[in-house]
Amino acid sequence: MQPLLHPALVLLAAAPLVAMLRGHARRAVLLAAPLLAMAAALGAPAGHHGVVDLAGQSLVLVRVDPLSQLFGLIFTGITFIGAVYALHVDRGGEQIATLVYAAGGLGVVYAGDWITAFVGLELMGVASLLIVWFGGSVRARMAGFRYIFMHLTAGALLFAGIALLWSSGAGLSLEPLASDAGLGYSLILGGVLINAAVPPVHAWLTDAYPEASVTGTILLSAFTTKTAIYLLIRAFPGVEALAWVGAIMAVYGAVFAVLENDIRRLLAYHIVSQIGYMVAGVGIGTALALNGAAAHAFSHILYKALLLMGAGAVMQATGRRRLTELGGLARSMPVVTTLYLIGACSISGVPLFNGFVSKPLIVSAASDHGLTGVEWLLTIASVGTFLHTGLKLPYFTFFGPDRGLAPVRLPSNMIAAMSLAAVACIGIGIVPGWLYARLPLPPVDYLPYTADHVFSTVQLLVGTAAAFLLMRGGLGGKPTVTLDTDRLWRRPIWNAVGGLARGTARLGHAWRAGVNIALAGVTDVLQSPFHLATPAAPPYDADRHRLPIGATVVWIVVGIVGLVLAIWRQGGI
Amino acid sequence: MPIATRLLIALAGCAAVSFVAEILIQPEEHGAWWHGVAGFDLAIGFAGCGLLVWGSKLLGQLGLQQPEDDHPEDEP
Repeated sequence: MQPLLHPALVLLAAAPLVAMLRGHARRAVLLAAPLLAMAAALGAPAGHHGVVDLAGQSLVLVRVDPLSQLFGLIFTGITFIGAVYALHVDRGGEQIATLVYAAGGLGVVYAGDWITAFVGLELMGVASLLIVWFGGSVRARMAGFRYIFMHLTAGALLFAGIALLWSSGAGLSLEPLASDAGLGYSLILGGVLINAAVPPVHAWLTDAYPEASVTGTILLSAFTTKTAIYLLIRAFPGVEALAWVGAIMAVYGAVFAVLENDIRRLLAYHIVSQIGYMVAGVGIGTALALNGAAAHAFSHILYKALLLMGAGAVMQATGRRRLTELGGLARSMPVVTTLYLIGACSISGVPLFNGFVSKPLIVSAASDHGLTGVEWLLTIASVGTFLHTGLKLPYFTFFGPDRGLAPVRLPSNMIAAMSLAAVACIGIGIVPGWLYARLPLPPVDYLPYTADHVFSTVQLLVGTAAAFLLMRGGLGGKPTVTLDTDRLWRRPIWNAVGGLARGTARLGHAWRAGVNIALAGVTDVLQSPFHLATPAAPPYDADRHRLPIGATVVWIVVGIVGLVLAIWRQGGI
Repeated sequence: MPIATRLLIALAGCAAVSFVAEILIQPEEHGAWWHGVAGFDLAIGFAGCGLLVWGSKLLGQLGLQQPEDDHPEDEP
C-alpha cells in the first residue's frame, strides 16, 4: 500500500519555511508546497487512516474516498493558482495565513469524523480572519471582527451539536446524520449553514470578502463555503428543505447583485447565489444532484477565482473598485478583459465552459425529482448570474464610458494565474468527462452537449443579453451601499458586546477597589497593633503610631529571650 | 450604426437560428411540458432579466440602497 502523506501537513510544514526564508527561496516554497500537497492528494490511498481512540470514540483523521479526493484536488489546485497570483506580494504573514487556511480546508475534506472536521474549521476561521485583516483598511478591520463573530457562533453551534451527538451515544463519523438525532442534528446543521453563507446568515461573506487583500480574496472564495458544501454532502443529503433554501439563496444573491456598485461585493453576492445551487443539489439528494453539487463546487472554485482575480487586477491597476468609477478598460487591459470574460462565460453556463457542464446537473435533477419551483428559481438565478457577471460588470468596467483611467502595468504572475484558471475552465467545459469521472457517485450518464440543452442555454443567454441591452441605461452602479440582513443585528450585537465589556470592566474596577480598601485596613493594623487599641484615634500617622526603631529592637530581643527561656523550661535545651 | 444596435441585431439573429433549430430538432422527452415549447427559454431569459432588475430596483427604492455617507467605514 502507498504511504499516506496528509496534504494539509505539507502546507503546514511549508508555513515556518515561508516565515524563515526570503526572496526567491520563499517564492519557491510557496509554489512547491501546493504542488507537493496536490501530489500527496492524488497519491493518497483510499480508505481510513490515522484511526485513534478518544474516550471511546474512534476518530478517523484521514478518510480518502472519491468525494474527499475531488475536493482535495481542487483545493490544492486553487492554492497553487492563488500562490502564483500572489507571487509578487511580500507579506510573509499573509502568505503563512493562506497556507494555514488551505491546510485547514484540506483537514476538513479529509476528515473522517466531526471532531477532526471541527478542528480544521476552527483553523480555517482564525487563518481567514488574518487574511481579511491583511486587507489593511479600517473597513477590513471592522469587517474582520464581524466575520470572526459569525464564525465563532458557527463554531459554538457545531461544538455543542457534536457534544450532544457524543453524549447521546451516536457515532461521530462523517456520515449522513439521522434527523431523529434531535437538537445535536439541528445545531450541527445550523453551524454548517452559517459557514455556507445561507441567508439570512450570509452577510459575513459579502461584508468581509471584498475587504480582504486583492490576493487573499481568491482563496477565501474557494475554501470556507466549499468545505460547508462538502459537509452538507456528507451529512445532510436529501434534506428536502435545503433544496428550497438553496433555490431561494440562488435568487437572493442575484437580486442583491443588481444593487451593488462595488465590483468585488457584486461578485461576492454571486458566490452566495452559486452556493445556493450546491445547497439545492444537496437538498434534492439524488445521485445526479449530489454529483452536481460536487461538480459545481469544483467548477465554481475555478471560475470564481478567475473572476475575482480579474476584479483584483482591475483594482491593482487602477486603484478603483466601484462601477461608477470604472469604464473603458478593455483597450488598456485587453488580456485581463479576455480572461475575465472567460470566467464570466463559465459562471454563466455558456457552452464550452465549465459552468455549462456542472450547473445543469443540479437543475436537471430538480426537474427529474419533480421540484418544479426549485427548477424555476434556479433558472431565474441563471439569468441573474449572466446579467451581472457576464454583462453588467464587464460592460461598465471594460466597455462602458471611458473614464480616462491609466492603469499601471500588472505583474506577469497575476496574468499567469488567471490564464491557468481560464485554461482549466475551458478544459473542463470541452472535456466534461474528466470531471464526471471524478464525481463521488458514479456512473454519471449525463450528457451536457445535447442539441436540446445547447439551444435552450443559448436562448436563455440571448434573451437576457437582449433585455440588458435595452435596460443598460438604468443598470449602471450608483454611489450607494446596500443594506443586508446583517444591518438588523450589527448594531444590537455591537452594543451587547460593548455593554458586556463595559460591565465586566466596571465589575473589575469595583472588585479591585473593594480589595484595595480591605487591604488598606489590614495594612494599617499590621503596621501598628496600637491601631486596634485606639479605634477612635485619628487616621494612622506613622510618626505617632509606629514604634521607635530602638524600642522595636528591644521588644524583639525580649521576645527571643522569652522564647529561649520557655523552651529551656520544657527541657528542650 | 451604434454598436448596441448591431449587437441587438446579432442577438436577434442568434435567437432566430436557435428558435428554428429548436423546432426542427426533436426535443428530449424529459422534464415538464414547457421545455418542449419553442422559444420558451428565450422568453424566460428576457422576462426573467426584466423581472430581476425591476424587483431589485424596487427593493432598493424601498430602503435597501442608502448613500455611502450614511455608513462610515468604522461603524460596527
